[in-house]
Amino acid sequence: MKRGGWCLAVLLLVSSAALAQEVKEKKEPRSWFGLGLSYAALMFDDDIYQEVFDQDFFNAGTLTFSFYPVRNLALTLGGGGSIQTGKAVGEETGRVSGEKLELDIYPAWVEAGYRFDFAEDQILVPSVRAGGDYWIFQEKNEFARDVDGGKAGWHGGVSLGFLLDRLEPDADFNLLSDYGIENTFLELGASKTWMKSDGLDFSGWVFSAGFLFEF
Amino acid sequence: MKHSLSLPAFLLVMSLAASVPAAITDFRIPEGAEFSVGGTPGRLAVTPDDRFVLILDETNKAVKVLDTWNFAILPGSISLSATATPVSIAIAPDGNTAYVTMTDKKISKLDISGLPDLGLNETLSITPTPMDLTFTDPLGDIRVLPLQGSTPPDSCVFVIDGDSLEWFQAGDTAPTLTNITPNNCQAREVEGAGKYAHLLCDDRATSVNATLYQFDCIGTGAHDVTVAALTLGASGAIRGLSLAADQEWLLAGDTTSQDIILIDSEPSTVGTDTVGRAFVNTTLQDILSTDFASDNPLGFVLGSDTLTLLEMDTTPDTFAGDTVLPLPILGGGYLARSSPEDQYVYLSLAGGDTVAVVTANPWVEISSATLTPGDTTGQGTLNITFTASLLSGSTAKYEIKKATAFKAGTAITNGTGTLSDGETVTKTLELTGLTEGQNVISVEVTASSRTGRDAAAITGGCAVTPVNFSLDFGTEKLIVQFKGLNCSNIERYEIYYGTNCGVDVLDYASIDDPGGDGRPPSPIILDNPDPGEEIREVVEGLQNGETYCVQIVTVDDSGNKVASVRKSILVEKALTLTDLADEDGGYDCFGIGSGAGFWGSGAWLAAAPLGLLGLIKAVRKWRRRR
Repeated sequence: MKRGGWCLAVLLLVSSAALAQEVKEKKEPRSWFGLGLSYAALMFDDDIYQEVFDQDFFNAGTLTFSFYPVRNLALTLGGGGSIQTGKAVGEETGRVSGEKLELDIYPAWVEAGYRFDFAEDQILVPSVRAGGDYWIFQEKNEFARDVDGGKAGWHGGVSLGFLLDRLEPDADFNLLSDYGIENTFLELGASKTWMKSDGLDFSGWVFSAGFLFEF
Repeated sequence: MKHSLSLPAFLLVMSLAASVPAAITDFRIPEGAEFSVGGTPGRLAVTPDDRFVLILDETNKAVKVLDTWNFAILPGSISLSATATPVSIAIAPDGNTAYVTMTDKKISKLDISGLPDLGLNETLSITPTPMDLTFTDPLGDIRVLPLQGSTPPDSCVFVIDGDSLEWFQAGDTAPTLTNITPNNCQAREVEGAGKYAHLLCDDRATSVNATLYQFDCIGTGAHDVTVAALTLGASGAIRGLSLAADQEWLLAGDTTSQDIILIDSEPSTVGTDTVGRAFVNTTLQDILSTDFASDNPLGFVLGSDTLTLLEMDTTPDTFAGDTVLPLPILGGGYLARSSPEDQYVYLSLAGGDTVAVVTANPWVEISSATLTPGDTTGQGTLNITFTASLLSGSTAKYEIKKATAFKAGTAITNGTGTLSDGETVTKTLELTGLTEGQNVISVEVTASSRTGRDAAAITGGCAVTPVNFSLDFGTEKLIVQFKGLNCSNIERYEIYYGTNCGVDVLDYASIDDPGGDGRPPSPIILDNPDPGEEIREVVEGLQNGETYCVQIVTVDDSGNKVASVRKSILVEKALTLTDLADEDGGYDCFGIGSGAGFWGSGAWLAAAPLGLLGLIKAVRKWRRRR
């Protein structure tokens, strides 16, 4: 099973690189920066979120800014936000009560990523990344005192970028000329977070989908 | 050629045909037809749709409004000025604007376009706008004529400014005054309706006693079109000038000779002569010309203590007859009238703070109208009691309608019948199609082809039904939530709660908790809820570990009650997310102060990007060496 997955990844890389070489004759311009805008689903390992919010995941929005010191290395600073409403639960029975609460989470992170980008206009660009996290949270309670704080941790994950410019070359030209954007990717990602400390545990998985603009 | 008549035109023709002249002796001030204004009523003006009478209140420097749908003074008033007193009022032909002249030589403009949308007894909310016009002398009468052929409709406004007559065009963004006073004219009275305005001048400086001028409002505005000379008594002074609704006749008064002069207002003859005179033994206050009574013009002459009605003959120096109504209240006053189809005369009686109605129409009084809501929204049972004062003691027909607007409505099934003079009628009628909020029921009584009216407001609502509520617990608390019924007739909700949950469901009062210890006493009363209001009531100070039950009773404004189902819940401590996680908050700075420690927190990964960068550079260096 594992061997099959690796074979598929290698096949995708080789085929996309070969296709890129065939189509593109001129040299791809060098990108120094990237700006990402994504939706993210935060899925925590701890069951207490399910109890209070009656939901398997939290919706979040993220914004990232990357610097490419060399072609295959991305140094990224990111941030996001998620607001979720729920209700307190009974101490004895675990029933949902009528006391409303709201949990606001604002994750921030720095990470380094290695991009498997070897060919001109490579259609599929996988990457692996890892970094440190600091998540700020605030619980707003209708009847109890509000609680706020921050949690540190780290994460590691993978992403796969689809180069959209190849789908619509005219759009590539327009974005390049109007805003200086050289590549636009649809990027799907998954990362595992380790945030375990006393109290709230934000460890779990983060799945994301969004756009990455390189310029 | 095909002749056809639209339905509205047919109805109009039929309504006019149904209105026949009354005898002069038929006019009276019916019992109950006097209304206190609460100040000193001055001049009046009737809106073109006949519904409202705008009354100047000289004491309070305001405008009061009489709603003739149900003959009641509307709550509130239109405040005009802190210092200046209103003098005269006129309403534009389209009924959207009223103009009031003030003693501070200003004109206040009132936007009354929203008046027809008012329900019965609704409070006035109109703010006057002072017009940017500068007059030199104290202002007198004001009249408005439609500007013929203008689009959108515009008006010429005529104002007596001292001894002068001035006019301005109402629709101009910055109206300017134009003096159109004829030579040797000391302007005294201005009157106007339809196509012409008439100005009566005191001309005794010349050989002529008085001169009547006629102006039109067409094309570029107001023009002097016709002149007539009038002969007054030896020391006569002019008072009052009134144009009949058909605009064929004018009445004017000579205060010395106490003559009432009838003038033919037709443009072709106005310059020739007066056509009739009548002597009235009274001190003239105001004159009103109508064509309510017969083919001859009917004059209302208000004296200091009597109202004289004259049937003027078109033969010079004669009049067909008169009748005198003693007025119960002394004092000066003014007159105004509604349309020939409506046939009401309104007089302000300054000495008595009142406005009275003079009419030959049946006078209808609704003494009560109550609605019992039905089981379905929009339905109900109306109980209505009314009586009518008739002229001749003969029977009259009545019709009870669910009004859709003033003088418009739909007949109610079984809502017709006959009644005699002074008879009290009580009817119980089933209504459908009621709307939430105010509904108006009108009663029209017709005798000898003359119709009187009254109206009453009932509040449409719905039958009380149990509310569907949710019951939640909190730490030492109950949380009751529900959406209130979307009915305007709900007076209150009563929330009963307690621990005695085993009693019969109809015995909700027995689940009462006595209250105390921070708990509100049961029931908790929520008065005057808005229709459809989202209600969330938190009952605190309860005992964790106890089971409480709740019932909600809905009460309408007729006292009808209905109880909801009973719900119960165990009250226990509610844990928040941070309670569950044993989280105290605080900012864990990369593991410092955290039980996970530095490495456990992953803070070392802050240096990971630098490490990766170094690794890649080392690999490149190695490749270059190779």
